[in-house]
Amino acid sequence: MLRVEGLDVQYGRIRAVRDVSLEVSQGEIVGLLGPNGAGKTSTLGAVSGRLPVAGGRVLLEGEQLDGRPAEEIVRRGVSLVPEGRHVFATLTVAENLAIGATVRKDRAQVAEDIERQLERFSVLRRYYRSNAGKLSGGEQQQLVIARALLSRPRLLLLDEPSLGLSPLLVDLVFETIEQLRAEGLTILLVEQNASRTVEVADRCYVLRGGELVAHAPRGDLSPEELGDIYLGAGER
Amino acid sequence: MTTSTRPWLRAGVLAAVLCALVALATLLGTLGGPRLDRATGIALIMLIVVVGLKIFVGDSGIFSFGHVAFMGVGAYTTAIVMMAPAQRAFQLPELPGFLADLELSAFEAALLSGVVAAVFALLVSLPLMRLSGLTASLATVALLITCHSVLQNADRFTRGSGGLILIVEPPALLTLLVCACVTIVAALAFRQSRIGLRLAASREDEVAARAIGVRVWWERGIAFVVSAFVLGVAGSLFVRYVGSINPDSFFLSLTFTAIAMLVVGGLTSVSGAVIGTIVVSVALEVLRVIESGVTIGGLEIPSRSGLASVGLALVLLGVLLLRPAGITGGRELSELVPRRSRRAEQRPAEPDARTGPPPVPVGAVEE
Amino acid sequence: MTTVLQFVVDALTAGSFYALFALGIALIFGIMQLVNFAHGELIMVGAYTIFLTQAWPWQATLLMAVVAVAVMALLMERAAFRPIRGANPATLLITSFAVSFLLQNVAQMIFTTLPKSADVVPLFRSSVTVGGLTVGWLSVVTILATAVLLVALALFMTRTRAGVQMRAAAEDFEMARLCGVRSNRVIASAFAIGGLLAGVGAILLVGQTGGISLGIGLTPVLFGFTAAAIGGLGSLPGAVVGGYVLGVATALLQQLLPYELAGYRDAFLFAGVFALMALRPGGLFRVAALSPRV
Ligand SMILES: Nc1ncnc2c1ncn2[C@@H]1O[C@H](COP(=O)(O)OP(=O)(O)O)[C@@H](O)[C@H]1O
Ligand SMILES: [Mg+2]
Repeated sequence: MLRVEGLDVQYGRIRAVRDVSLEVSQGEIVGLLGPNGAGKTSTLGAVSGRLPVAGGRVLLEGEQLDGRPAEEIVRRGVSLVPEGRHVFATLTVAENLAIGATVRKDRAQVAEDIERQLERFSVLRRYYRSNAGKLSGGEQQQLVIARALLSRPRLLLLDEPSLGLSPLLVDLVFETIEQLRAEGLTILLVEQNASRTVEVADRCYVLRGGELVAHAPRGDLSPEELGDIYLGAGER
Repeated sequence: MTTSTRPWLRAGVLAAVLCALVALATLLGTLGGPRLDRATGIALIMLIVVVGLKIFVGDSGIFSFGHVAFMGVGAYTTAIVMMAPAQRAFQLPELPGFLADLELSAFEAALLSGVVAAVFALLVSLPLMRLSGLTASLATVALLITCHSVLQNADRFTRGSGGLILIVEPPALLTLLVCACVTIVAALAFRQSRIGLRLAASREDEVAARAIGVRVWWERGIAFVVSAFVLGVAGSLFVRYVGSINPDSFFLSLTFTAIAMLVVGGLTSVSGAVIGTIVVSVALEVLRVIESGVTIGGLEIPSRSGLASVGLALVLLGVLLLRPAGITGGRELSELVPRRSRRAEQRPAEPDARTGPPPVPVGAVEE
Repeated sequence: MTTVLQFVVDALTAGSFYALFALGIALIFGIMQLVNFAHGELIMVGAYTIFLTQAWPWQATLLMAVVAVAVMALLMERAAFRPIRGANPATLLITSFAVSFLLQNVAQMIFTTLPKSADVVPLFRSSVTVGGLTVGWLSVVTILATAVLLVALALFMTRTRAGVQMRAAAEDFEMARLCGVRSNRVIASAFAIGGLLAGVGAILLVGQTGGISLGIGLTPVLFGFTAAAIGGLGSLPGAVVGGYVLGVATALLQQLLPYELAGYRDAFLFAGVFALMALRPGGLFRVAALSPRV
């Protein structure tokens, strides 16, 4: 479904991602792991159109995504849940969800979809008319995921959804990811929590220093090996 | 860091080159008769204004819209203290006693104007230097308007919107040239000084600069006061050169011209300030000739007031859209000469690249 | 009692003016960090449109003025601000300064510097007396028109999809785009609305003085900008409150300043704004748009 070929991403003269190629097939969960500063967020940024692509190509089912603005890419079915819970704090939960459905043309279905998300994340129903800024971190994370789903994406990009959450909420996030897979959604998941990611993902890529250093199907990377990669000991 | 004299040597060579450039431009300016002489004199004064503005704006990264107010303070100071007593009794009958009988020389007046402007800047800088970025720029707009309003209303000292007339021997072109060169040297020396280097570091990365002990508000404050001094002196020269001033002389129009010159040249370098002033002055003079009505190849262009300013605005917009870092790209001429080993480390980043919003994707502009 | 009422009417009238201009400035700033100095030239365009069309039926003249200003606002966005979108705020401010200078001098080439006059709605300059209190119709119209516009804008911002998108974009432009909000459309809408507000402001301004000059927009834009800064640039409720605070402040200074100092009213106001910015850089209301983005 998603093909990234030889991707380069730059910030001014600093190169954050170098020659990264990866693939995500329909219905898969693919993990993207790596230490801090490895270039994971930058990779998702380039796929979602948030950052310019300095080199290489990004294709969604053969259609070129790179060079298109973010607002067009989400219309083509790629939705990003960025790092750090970017809710619209001065908008209500209801308005946040409505913004999530901006790209939808089937207005009638949207109300149903919102209802479905409110069932999945029941806290959101409780605070439906409150400002999103009032929600706790975990609640905001749920809102951001629900908002991204309201665009009915074909591919969901999740950037560190469990970061800074309590263990209970981390469980909830990973349960949600499993659920979404069961619903047939394709997911590219960036995580620091490597062991949990390896559990849910069909395959994992590992980035370090902006380059792809490993690629393994499920079970092929043991937590110990991952630890090595994070510490920079094992070059595979 | 080694205590090498190399940077100073390079700055010295650069100063010589820039001064020679200005001298050459001045010489060319004197070849065209009295009208061009006057334009050349104004351009030299603007050069002092723009280089003075660069001392603060270029190194702090804070854009000031209020500097022309310091020029106004300097000009009014000189007008008041240099005026012949009879003139003063006529134009400003209500002046307090101690000012009524003064008659300072041109040099004393220039020095006093600079000091008054600097003291004023010092007072203003106490609250202002707490701010950064856009808020600071907007506060300087408020400063400009406040000063304009005070000049308009302090009739006792300024004769209100009627303005003041100063009949004295205008400074010779050579004097203006020397002042301009001194300003260039001073600006380059300031940039190489400890404070200048620290300030430039804070522009590149405020957080990192703080981490190595740059207080930022202190360095900015010094640059602000120094540049206000230069503007005060420029104001002194200005009023002697043109002979009459009013509050509108130091308001939006002059602010706009000075900003255009600095931005067109590239606001982070002295070379940019100098080149921008020369280029814009020449362009303005050409536009003024067209504005007053000319015939080019049988095509008669009627006189249209406003045309020169339209041209200036278009030039500035063109530079902002096509080459936002200015003609020099914000670099000194000495950095444009290829020097393999040093080039990478000396090249300054794009101004404010880091404080702006995140990079916009290539296709940001949808059709 | 009547002095108090007179004071209230004066403060509300001035405040309404300032709120109209401040809203236009705050709207654009919130969405693209642009302090649009050229907002004053939008008012100028409105005023000269009234001058050119004053022979028309007054309804047509007023409609034309508002339309012309909105179109000018859109043109300005398309030609000058879109190409440098995302540049740092100081560059944007300089650009708007250049646009302002350009438009003003183009107008000078067309209309010369001689002031013009127009008397569109003669009613504006008559007044009513209610129980000893004399109120100009213009004050009544200004206060009511502003109130209607404020309510309409509030409804637009909260009840329509475009309005909610605009608020989202003002809070976090990049995230709004990632949700599919079209940046060109939302920015153009903001300029159109800002133009509409400036157009109405121009009508009221010309109605007040009957005079039209190249600099007609300068004082309004400075006061509008000041009001927006008081309210914390970018916050729409802040701009409205800032406008009325400024209205009360000007009316108070007018009443309280001794005769010799009356001319310094604006100096006091702007010095006050300077102090306010230094002491509370975020305005009376803190806004996300001005705090550094990480
Ligand atoms: N806005 C930015 N400006 C400059 N460099 C950046 C910026 N964002 C990230 N980087 C650099 O790019 C590299 C990759 O960052 P990122 O993609 O955020 O990594 P990760 O998400 O894997 O932690 C890092 O070295 C980081 O310092
Ligand atoms: Mg990251």
